[in-house]
Amino acid sequence: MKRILLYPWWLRSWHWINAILFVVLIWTGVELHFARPGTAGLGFQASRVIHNTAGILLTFNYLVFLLGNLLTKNGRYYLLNLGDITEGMLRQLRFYVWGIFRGEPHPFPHSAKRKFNPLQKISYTIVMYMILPLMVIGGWLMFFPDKIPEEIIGVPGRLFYALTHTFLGWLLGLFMMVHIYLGTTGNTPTELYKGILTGWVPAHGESSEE
Amino acid sequence: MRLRSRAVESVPFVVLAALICASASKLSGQELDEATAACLGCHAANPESPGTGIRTEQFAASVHASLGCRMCHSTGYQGFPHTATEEQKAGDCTSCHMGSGEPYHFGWIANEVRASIHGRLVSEEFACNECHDPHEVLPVHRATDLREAIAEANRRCLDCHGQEGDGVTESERHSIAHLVEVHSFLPRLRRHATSARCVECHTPGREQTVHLILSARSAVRDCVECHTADSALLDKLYRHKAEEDRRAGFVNSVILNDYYVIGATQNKKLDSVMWSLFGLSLLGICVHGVVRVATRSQRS
Repeated sequence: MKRILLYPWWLRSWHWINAILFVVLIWTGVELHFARPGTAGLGFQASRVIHNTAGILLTFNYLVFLLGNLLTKNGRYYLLNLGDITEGMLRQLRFYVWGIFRGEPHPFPHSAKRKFNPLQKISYTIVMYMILPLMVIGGWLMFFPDKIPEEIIGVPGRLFYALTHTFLGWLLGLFMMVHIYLGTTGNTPTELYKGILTGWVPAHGESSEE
Repeated sequence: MRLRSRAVESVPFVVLAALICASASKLSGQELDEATAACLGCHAANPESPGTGIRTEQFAASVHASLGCRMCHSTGYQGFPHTATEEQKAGDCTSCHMGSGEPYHFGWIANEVRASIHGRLVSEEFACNECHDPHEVLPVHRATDLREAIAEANRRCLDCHGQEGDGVTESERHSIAHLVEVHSFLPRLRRHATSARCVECHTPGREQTVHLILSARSAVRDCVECHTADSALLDKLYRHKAEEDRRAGFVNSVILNDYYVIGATQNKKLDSVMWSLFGLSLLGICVHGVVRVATRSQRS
């Protein structure tokens, strides 16, 4: 079968660094948020230092992502076509809840022009261009609490940012769990994992290379 | 103003206080104000240079303002020049406060002060006014501005423990430099110092006392004492506020204090909703995965 290089080295590096930082941030974030005396784990002090360090690294990694998308063709995969996105999402959803059990082919197979199915495209766009930047900005603001306004829409400023940070953290944790599972829904359970490790995925579209 | 432990010793003072209270209560509000104003005519602090005078604004806000000066400064102050002896210059706090009624339990406080590091190392009769200026007494939960109340409470500690100088050795433990040095394990020291009182950590954790000041070695150092849902702050700084808010039906620390304390500030509704979403998603993934495995042979 023909293969296509869908994930260049910089993207794979970015992805796995991001994955490790997500795990570290979620782990330490949970330890900080649900801290209890005498609980096993990294501990409050260590979690704080690791969480802050990982947050700073995540920011730099996010800049790599933005820069990579600006300088390479990878950015185009995130462009939404609002005209057919709803229909595409419904087709993909139908595949996940019905077609996948019946052995139907993927409705949006990989090709040089298409890396994401419509559900991936919209969720990745929301996560990478809305949730993650808000998360990062909120996290940085909490490094400088004195700069946060005393009140935002009737809520104490620091409380507002902290609650938003917590809420977005929950959403990203949820996203990661679903993301890890959907990674097993290729033509074989390991196909997509091999792809993001090696960069190569089987090409089903007409514009395949190699 | 020394703390006295034996009931026998306190009897004359209680009787005296009762007499003073009885005579003071005969004054109308206006007479009381006029009498106080007359005293402050000489004893008010100069706003430019307060010195030892009475800071009128703080006095007016204090819980003692309504009592009038003569409640405590009685004997020896009838005429001018005053004839009060050193002993008579100020009243005895315990002459009014020896009862152990709610919410202050002064009998307990006296015992705690004696057992504290101050009581053991400085003086067994460590006086109330070593830390509390009776003219500016305002319990933290009655203050309109919590930050100011915290600053005021910590200022009392810093009066002794924040001396000028850059000494950091054990013998120079009252210098501000030493203070900063020994608290360097606290991230954002300034924020900690302006968001909580020294006594939150320097008295036994999980106990409501703020008078049983411990030695530095015994101070609470575990962050999670405060940074947790069941925060020790609720037993100290926010004790009264927390109780008031609980009475109003609030149990969430977010609403209790309007500050954000990592680990202590948890929005129960948000966390419950998100835990449920996590659980449902995990369940969905498991069901989906099982059905995929079950239909695998059918597909192949």
